[in-house]
Amino acid sequence: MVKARVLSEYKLPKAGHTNDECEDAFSIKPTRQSLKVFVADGATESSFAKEWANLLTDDLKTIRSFSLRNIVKRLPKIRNEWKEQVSQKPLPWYAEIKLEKGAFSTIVGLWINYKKSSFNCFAIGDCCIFHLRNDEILTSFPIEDEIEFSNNPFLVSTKIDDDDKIVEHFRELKNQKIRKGDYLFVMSDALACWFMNKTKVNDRPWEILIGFTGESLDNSFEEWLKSKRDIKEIKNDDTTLLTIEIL
Amino acid sequence: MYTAEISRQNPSCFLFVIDQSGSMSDNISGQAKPKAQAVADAINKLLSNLTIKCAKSEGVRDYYHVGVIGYGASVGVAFTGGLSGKELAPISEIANNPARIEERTKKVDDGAGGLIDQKVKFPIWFDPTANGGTPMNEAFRLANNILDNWLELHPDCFPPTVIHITDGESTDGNPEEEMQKTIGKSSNDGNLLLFNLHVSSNPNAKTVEFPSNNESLPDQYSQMLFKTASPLTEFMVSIAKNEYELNVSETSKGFVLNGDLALIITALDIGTRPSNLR
Repeated sequence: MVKARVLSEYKLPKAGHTNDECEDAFSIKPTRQSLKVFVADGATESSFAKEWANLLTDDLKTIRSFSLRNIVKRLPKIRNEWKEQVSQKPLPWYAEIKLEKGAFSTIVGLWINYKKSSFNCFAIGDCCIFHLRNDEILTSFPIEDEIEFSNNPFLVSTKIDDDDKIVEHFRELKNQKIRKGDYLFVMSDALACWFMNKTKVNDRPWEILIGFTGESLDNSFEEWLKSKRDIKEIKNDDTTLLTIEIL
Repeated sequence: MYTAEISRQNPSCFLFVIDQSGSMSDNISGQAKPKAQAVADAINKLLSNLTIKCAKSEGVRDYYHVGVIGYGASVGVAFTGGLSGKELAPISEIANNPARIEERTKKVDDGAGGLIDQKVKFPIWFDPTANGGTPMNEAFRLANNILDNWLELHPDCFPPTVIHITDGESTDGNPEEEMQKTIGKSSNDGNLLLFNLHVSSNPNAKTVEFPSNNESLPDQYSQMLFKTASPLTEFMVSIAKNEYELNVSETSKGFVLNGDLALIITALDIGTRPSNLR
């Protein structure tokens, strides 16, 4: 039997953007028996992607298993909510045309089961989960090599047309054993790419991320991220990090 | 080179230099449509696409400033209406100030193997014009002034892209020197990019797209326009190859001879697709 606590939660926009313009989203659902977290990365190229990413992370908190079937079953309801949200006011010509193209997002979900001392996870796209034990990354999910970040990931769309392709791009892991002292990191792609690079050259990037705790009131993560963006070590992109400690 | 981020804090610019001389009333290659009309359609389509690309839920983000110079009976900025007299306008102003919005029909899949007509909004900023001579020299002098001012204010920008559409025969002297000045300009991120789209009236001119040499070019006009066009950037080569399946190489230049409307629109898309929009 384990427990888990969210050590830190950060969501920061690209440099030069306001917090309100950040198109990443995350949600956390703790219960007595488990902890569920989701991170989604709305695609910059689409409009109303922030709303789509928010609705995905918010709604999927309620699902009872991470099966593909269960997730796809939720999509029509989430799409309807998105349509309602975005059609509340008349739009100028360009927003109307862009809206027709739909909104897109990646998503990753992590579900820690305390009693079973294990986690399940799923991903569509390139938001990532890393499982750390004793200074070793046991699991890098769903991407195992940073080269894959240069590809265009598959995205969950507000348009139904792409649903038959989700099955090809849905990744999942089940019953991954965890124990006290482990850490799980859930993050969007820019930070995940840096994390993977640093891990590859034995730079122990987790030590830096564990150092940022949500309890600190300073801007230390924000300042650190800015410094890494300035030297182009981390891509200037919306960035989300959730660090979870297993107790 | 060509790695600067394009953002609202560090926008880039597109400048269109459009031949509006009398000879632009001839039909474009392969279509019963005057060159001037085809060019106006292509520019309006491109401005619409750029606007949509920059549109977000809260409005249009000013990643680009755009200008249009027309040359024919006179040389000057070609925007009308709310944009009248603007050398370069931020894309949000362009978005909100089309001269008018027309409704056109396009064929779309009806989901049952057939096609149906769908009404689409088509904003118009730029109307076809064809009269007078071809003062290409003067047009590039004006372009160079506009670009100098832009580069002074935006030294770190992704280099401006100039898209020049002409039927090629300058009437105010050889414009090569002015065009060489244009391609010699740079920001800290690399040299400016000049695309020459040549809608030639020469009966021997065949369609040539993004060539690496001037072997199949029929006359001095197309050769000069090839010579002064910029090499495609690595990213543009990748778009041309992967999205449009064009036969291009690392030495291909931003030059198209006698493209039909579809090829002109393709060239405009390739020319206006830097890789690093933020």
